[in-house]
Amino acid sequence: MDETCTETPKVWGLTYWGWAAVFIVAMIGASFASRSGLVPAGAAIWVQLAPLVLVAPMAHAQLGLFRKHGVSSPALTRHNRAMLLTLGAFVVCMCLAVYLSRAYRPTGLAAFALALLAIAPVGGIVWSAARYLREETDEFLRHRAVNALLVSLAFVLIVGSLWGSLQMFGLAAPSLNLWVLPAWGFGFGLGNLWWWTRDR
Amino acid sequence: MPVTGASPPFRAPRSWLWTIAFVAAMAAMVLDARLGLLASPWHSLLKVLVLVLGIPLMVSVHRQSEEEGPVSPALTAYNLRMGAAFAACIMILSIAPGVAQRLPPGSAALWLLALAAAAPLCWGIWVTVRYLAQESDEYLRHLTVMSTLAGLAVVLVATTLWGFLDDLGMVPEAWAWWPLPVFAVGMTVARAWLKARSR
Repeated sequence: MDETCTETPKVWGLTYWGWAAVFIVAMIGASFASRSGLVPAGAAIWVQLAPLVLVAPMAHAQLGLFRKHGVSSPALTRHNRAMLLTLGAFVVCMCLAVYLSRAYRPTGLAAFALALLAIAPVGGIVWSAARYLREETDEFLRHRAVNALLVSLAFVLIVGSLWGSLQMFGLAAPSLNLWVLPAWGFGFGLGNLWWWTRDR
Repeated sequence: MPVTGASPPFRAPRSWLWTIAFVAAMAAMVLDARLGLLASPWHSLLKVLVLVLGIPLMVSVHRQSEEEGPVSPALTAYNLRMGAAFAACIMILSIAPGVAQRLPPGSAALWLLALAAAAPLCWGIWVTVRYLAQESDEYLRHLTVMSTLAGLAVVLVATTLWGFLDDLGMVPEAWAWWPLPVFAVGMTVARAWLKARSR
């Protein structure tokens, strides 16, 4: 492992840990703000989506951290680039779809086409992950990615189970299922870090 | 495998029929809970039917996997534990709404009941984690990992699509535990497809 550079890589003055903390605070803050009545009902989805912008600098800082410790491969570099692009595309497509749905109130097939526009980049994320698992020749990195994905799935299912049970008994507010993707991203980062700290 | 002639005609495995019956009973139970279609004894009998149908379903799935090849001890333990978690989940979800009606809103007892309802779901997730850690058969482990990841892909796409359509008011609001059944269906279909492909 390359330990020659001692300074932790930063993006705009913050390390990965700093960005992760900002992302978590922003996610929790957005959830509370969108349900508090402070923002108009129509703007709640914008508030919920806004923290996704923070995924880009957070992911960039995490890549710098992994690169510093020699955890990289050509397939991983390709995958990370594709992930950043698809996440950016997701934010743009989702915002565009929400704006169009607010402006034109589509129904039927038009609304369904708009929904497909909104989720197309999610298909890109899935495709990129599947391609990475196929192309990765480094067994250790592949094993780590698979485990991080499994951790992220467990995280989403546990959060969903607990939150859903609280909703069922009127103890938590109803929610749009749009929380799943950011929660998955967070769980994936958590899984990656867990394996990384375990292997060190 | 050497090709000796025409492949045998396709026969739907018995587990498929039990799966269809079970899913139909579950769907009827959910519809009944939402719309209040059935009167008192039939309402409870439907819940019992779902529980009862779960038994032949699990037995037929286990028999089918035995027919397809040797079943590892880890898979046998997984099937048993998952069956128990599943039965506990259906039982708690059948009883909990009735108990919740008798408890004051927002009380500590209601919180405990909500956590008890989530416990079998979390236990099911733990059972899968243990299975993956204990499975020594490389093929079975690969099959489970790949079908689980396919289930994750279905969850990400389906929940984002549903969330957006929900925002448009085109679909009913979904509970936050909705990813769990979506994952189960995605994983089961992917597992069947991967098995069929490897034959």
